[in-house]
Parts: sequence; structure tokens; C-alpha cells
Amino acid sequence: MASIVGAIGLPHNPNFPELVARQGLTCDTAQSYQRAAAEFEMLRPDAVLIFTTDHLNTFFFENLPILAIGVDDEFAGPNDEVPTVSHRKVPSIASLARHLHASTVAAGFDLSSVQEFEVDHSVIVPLHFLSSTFSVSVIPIFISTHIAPRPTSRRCFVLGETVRAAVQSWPGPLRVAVIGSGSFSFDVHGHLSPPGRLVGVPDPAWVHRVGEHLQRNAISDLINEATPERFSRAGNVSGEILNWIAMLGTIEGQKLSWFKPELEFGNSYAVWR
Amino acid sequence: MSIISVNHLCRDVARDRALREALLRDPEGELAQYPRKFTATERAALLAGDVGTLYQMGVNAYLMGYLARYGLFGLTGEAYSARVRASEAAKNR
Repeated sequence: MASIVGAIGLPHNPNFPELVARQGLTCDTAQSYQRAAAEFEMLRPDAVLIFTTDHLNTFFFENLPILAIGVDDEFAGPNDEVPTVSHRKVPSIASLARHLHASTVAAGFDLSSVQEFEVDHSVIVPLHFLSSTFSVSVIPIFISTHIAPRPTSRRCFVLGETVRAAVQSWPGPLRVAVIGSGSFSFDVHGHLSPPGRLVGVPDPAWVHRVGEHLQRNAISDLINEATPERFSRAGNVSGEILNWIAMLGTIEGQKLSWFKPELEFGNSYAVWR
Repeated sequence: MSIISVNHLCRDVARDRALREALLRDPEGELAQYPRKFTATERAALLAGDVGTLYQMGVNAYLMGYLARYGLFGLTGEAYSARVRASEAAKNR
């Protein structure tokens, strides 16, 4: 049977590849991604599931699913601007994605199915740093975390548990790694960005708080506190913590092996294996 | 409700260099040619760079920021920030 061999939480800021190219491999962001990449390699995954949030690039207001899964044998990206990163194809496994789709719908999660799709920086930036050859197969699971109404944190966690059960019911011997993509406190072009700036970290206390919960494995506390009210203070993309919470639902037995906050950008890096 | 047209415009601005250049040259004329229709309030707010009004009308901030990033409708990052923040402060007074 297939199994989940580990999980990695990462930010996906679209300017990070350019920042690392400009500042070099010794900068903090590069060091964090390099450590995450080393951990990723040790997991030896055959496939990756990434819980992620589209930034109105794959979906738009005419059709904006709360939950969706990419079902195809490949997809492409980024379909938005990611300086220094070229548009490319990423392999996927349609048969496994169909199994995950059917299993989650049967369990009460009405995921939309997406075929012949592209993805934005929220998928490509983590892959750019974790597996620069883009050779591992990736299945994206999209959660609408930016625009209310968002799914609740509890529902996202249970989605993760449901995905784990679906992976374990896949008959093939597959090693699956899970990624949670996104920030904890960040505002993009909204009123919570600092005066005179277009982006910022409006709620650094929340970044600290999330980090404490993760390091204590206090997931119930995290779920209880990751509310719409908190997101209204933590910035208009802070709901991306829901991608992490869904990822946490897939973990069974793995322990937090590395945690690195990046307060300047309102996010963190973490590995469970 | 056509606020979706403003959202479309902002996303198109991010993706289409020719559109950006045209809006810089002739904002009023280019808005008139844009394939989606705007209300009079939306058109006036766009041409005035009144992102505070648009923000309160529900234009998606992630998308709307591209207007400032590309300096459209007379916007700078500083002006954009001030107007969006002021609109929110006024709403909460």
C-alpha cells in the first residue's frame, strides 16, 4: 500500500527565487530552502501532494472552488510572474489523483476536479527549491484560503486525515510526501500592509504563536485559533495556514524534525518525518 | 454587479504588457475600448486612481495592487497605500 513518508511546510513568495539568485546561497531564505530540500531528498518520495492556494490565476471569480484537485498526468506553471523561474511542465499521476478525488468525495469532501490546468507560484516556488529538476510527480490540492468564505481550519484538518486514508488505500507501493504551502501572516496590497508599502507582516505575534503550537504539537490549539477573526488581523493571505493545517492532518506518526521561523516574511519552514 | 470587470482589468494588467502601455498612454480611451463594461462609478474611480473607493466596493486587493506596481492611473505605491488605508479607516469611524 502507499504511505505518507513525511510532510514539509514552506512559504511560496513569488519573489523568493529572484531574492535567492540576487543574495546568493548563504542568505537566510536560501539556507532554509536548502535544508528543506535536503530533508525532502531523504524522504525519497515517489509522489508529492501539495495543499496550496491559487492566487486568482488558475481560477477566477466566475468559478472559484473552495476545494479542488488537479487530475492529469502533467500540468504546467507558473501561470503568473515569478522572476527568474521559467514556465515548465510538472509530471503528475492522474490515476492516483482520480483515486484521491473519488475517495475524498465519498468521505464527504466535494472537491472539484481540474484537468488540463496550470498552476501559479504557490506550487512552482516550493518545487523550484525542493526539486529543481521537477522530476517527481506532484498532485495539487487547492484550498481557497484568501477569499471568504474559507473552509474552516477543522474541516481542512479532517480533509488532510481523509487524504491520508485515501493514500493508504492506494494499492501500489508508493512513497508520498505532503507539502503545505503558504504564509502565516502576510498582507498583499491591502489595508494591513505598512504605510507606504504594498506588502507586510501585520501580525508577527501570530507567527510566533503558530510556531509555538507546531513545536509543542498542539495542533488542536492551532485549529481552534486559526479563525476568520485571526485572519482579519493577520493579513489577506494569512489563511494560507489552512494549507499547513490540511498537511498536518495527513501526518500519522511522523515527528517534527526541523522548524525554522522567518519572521521578516511572516512564515516558517518545517519538516515532519 | 460589474466589479468583476475591474478584477478582470487588474489581472489583465498583470499579464498583458501591451495593455499596460496603452493604459499609460491613454487611460480613458483604453478603458472605453476594454471588452468588459464598467459602471460610471468604477470608471471614474479607476481614472482618478481612487483605489480607496474601489477597495471598499470589493475589488480584490491582491489584483488591484498591480495598478500601483505598474504606475497606472497616476498611482504610486505610496499613494496606493495611503488611499486604501484611509478608506478602511473611514469605514471604521
